[in-house]
Amino acid sequence: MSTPPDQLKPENLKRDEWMRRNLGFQAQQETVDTQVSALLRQTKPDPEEVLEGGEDERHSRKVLMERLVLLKLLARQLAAIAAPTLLLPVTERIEQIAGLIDQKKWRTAHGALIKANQLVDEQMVLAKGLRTVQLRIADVTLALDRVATKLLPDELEPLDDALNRLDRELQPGTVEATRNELARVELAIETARLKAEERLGRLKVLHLDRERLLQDIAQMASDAESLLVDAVIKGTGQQTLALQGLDQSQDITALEQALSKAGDLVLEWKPLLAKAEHEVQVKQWTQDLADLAEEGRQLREQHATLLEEAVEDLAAELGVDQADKDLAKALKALPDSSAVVDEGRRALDVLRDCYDALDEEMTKIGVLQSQYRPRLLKVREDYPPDEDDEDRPNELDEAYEALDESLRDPDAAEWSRLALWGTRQDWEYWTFLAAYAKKQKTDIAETEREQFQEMKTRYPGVLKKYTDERKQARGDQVTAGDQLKKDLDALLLPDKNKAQRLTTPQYKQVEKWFTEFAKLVAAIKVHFADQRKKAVDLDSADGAHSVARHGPEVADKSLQKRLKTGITPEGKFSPAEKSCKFLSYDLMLETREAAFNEAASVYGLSLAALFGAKLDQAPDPNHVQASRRRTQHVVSMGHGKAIGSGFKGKGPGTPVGDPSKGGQTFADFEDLPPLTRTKSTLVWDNGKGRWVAAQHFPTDV
Amino acid sequence: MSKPEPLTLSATMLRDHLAVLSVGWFNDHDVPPRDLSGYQPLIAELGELLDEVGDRPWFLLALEHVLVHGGAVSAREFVNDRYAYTDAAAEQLLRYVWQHLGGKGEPVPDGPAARAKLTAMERREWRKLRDEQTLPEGP
Repeated sequence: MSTPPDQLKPENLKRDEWMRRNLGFQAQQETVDTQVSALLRQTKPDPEEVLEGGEDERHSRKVLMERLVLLKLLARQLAAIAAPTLLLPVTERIEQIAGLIDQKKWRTAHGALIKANQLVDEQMVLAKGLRTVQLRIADVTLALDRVATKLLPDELEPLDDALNRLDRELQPGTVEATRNELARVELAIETARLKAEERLGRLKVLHLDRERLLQDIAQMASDAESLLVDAVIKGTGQQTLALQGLDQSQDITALEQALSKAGDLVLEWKPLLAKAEHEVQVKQWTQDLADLAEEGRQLREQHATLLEEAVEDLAAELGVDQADKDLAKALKALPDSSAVVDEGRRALDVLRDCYDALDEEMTKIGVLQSQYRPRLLKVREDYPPDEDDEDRPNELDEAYEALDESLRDPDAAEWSRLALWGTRQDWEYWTFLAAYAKKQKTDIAETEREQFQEMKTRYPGVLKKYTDERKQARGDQVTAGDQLKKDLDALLLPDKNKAQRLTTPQYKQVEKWFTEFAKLVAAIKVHFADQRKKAVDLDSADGAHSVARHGPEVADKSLQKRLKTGITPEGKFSPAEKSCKFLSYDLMLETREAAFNEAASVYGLSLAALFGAKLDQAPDPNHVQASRRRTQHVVSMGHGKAIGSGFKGKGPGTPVGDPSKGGQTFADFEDLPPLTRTKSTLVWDNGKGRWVAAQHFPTDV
Repeated sequence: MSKPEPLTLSATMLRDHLAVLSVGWFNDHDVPPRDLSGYQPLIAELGELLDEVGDRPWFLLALEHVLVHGGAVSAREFVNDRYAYTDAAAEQLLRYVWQHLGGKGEPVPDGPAARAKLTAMERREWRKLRDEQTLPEGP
């Protein structure tokens, strides 16, 4: 048997290439084999022919040499198809025969030639046996090659090595042993193939598991991305890479371990995502509630303007003139301690109540919207999943009807959206809604049909419950909205159905409030007039000018004019650096009375001791106490609260009037801070026979 | 020997007492008298008042303080509740009052009055503080 050239050896070729070339080589050998058989038949010596020509030496030599040449040719042919070990004895015989011919030993040479031909026959048989085993090795190698891709390296390599070794070590004497070994290798290949088939079947299942797990992880990664759960985003990325890395792996153990680990992680991530989803949902709810509150606030603002107009209309209709300057002045001038101010405040509160009560109506929608959500949240509690309940009603049809209604009615659809938004089952509903919409156009997909069925199983009755809740909530809203609209129409549209408007409870309530308000306004006006008269009368009786120069009704411009010109509000020339007035007649009178008390307390006396019971205690020139002898007391005191306002000259003054009087005026002025003090001169008026407040004015120090 | 603590005097007390003139004059006038002597009856009244409430020496110290610190402390601020005195007229009035209620010679630039602190405070607070302080010895 010949050996393939080096470039054709298996270790230098890929297996399939080697097989292709080896098979070609074998085909060549078979052709040569056929030619050799023909030659053998032609060159077989004929003993008789030699014997017949035995006396002719030249003939014998010629015949024998021709036959020897043919034998050499046969040997060369044998060399082409057989191993060297088979060729060597033939070559030796040829040399031996050639020597015998040279020695002219014709018969001996002839006999050797016959034996050499027999040897060639035997060697050819051996060569055929070798060739058969070699072809068998090639067949088995091909069989191994067919299953090679299914085998693991440690399975493939020993088999491949065994075949290579058998091929390499094949000799005429090892043909039988090689055949036996080859049978064992063939069995091992079949065993490995069966094992590989089983393994591949298992791997196919595992790969399906892996694909499903990858899909789950991809979904989780997407959820985590939208929910911003970093740990899960990172984990899903790593696990995806790890599982994708096993794409071509046939390592069952590694794949099982990777799947197990990824499965565990998926279970760990679920609560994280659920928590994050809940947090996002809560945030969304919070934001939506804030939006709702803002919407309500804007509504209330808009409503407040309408109400203001309505109140003005009603006030005009009821004869309450809110723009009354006297009233505004009176309210401003009233002292804090006055009961009348409290009444005024109460009157203003009544007005505010008027606003608030109607404003409250506007919040009803918001309240209703916040109330229906808890009701819907209870749906899940009322209808927990119950797989064993076989008497479940057919909610699917009811849900179809509800959703059909939603789809036909945009308002209801929007309301449904709001309601769904408030529930934890929104994904089921949205799935349902999407599927339903699709069903209206095309056949429903199998997965969506399964979702229906699953939802129906998991939440028996929930759809009906939802529908009922939605209808109830919407009904409440519609009722409240209708009522509110009626109320507003009655109040805000004065020219529309006036007669009807005047009979509404809201209108009557407002009318009542305004009546009360009008009474209070009237009382305030009376009080204001009383106090003004009292102050004017006192001033007049005392011969003073407090009301004219410092009364609450003195205009600020008059005060400022005195600083600039020296002319007092009543028209006299008396330059001043500060020009002030009282905030109200109440405060003017209150502080005047306080000044008398203060004067007495300076000397540790009672009011009556210094001024008499009716301010008629005349000074006694002979009294031991100087205070009792004095005809004037200048009182400076603080009151602990704002009692006046005024202005002070600013910048360098300009001398004015008689230079000997040292007076000045000011081109500019500034506001004084709220005034809390007064200065008063309490003087004994001999003609009147009593003490008078010759001067009483507010000041800053 | 360490220097005595500077006295604290009430600016409110000074202003309120001066009001006997700066406000009282205007009970029946719209402008000040042509001559400072026109204030004499009121100065006499003020003297009686100061003696009765025990403020005379303190009042004089406060007046002296304002007169000494004429550039820094405006005399006008103590008499401007009722009439728009110029700075010069106000200082003349205060000096006249000081001289006629017991002020001796000229205000002392580095005396106890000059070193005193002039602070706004109500009557009750002033009287409590006054009783806790010792009047400096006279010249």
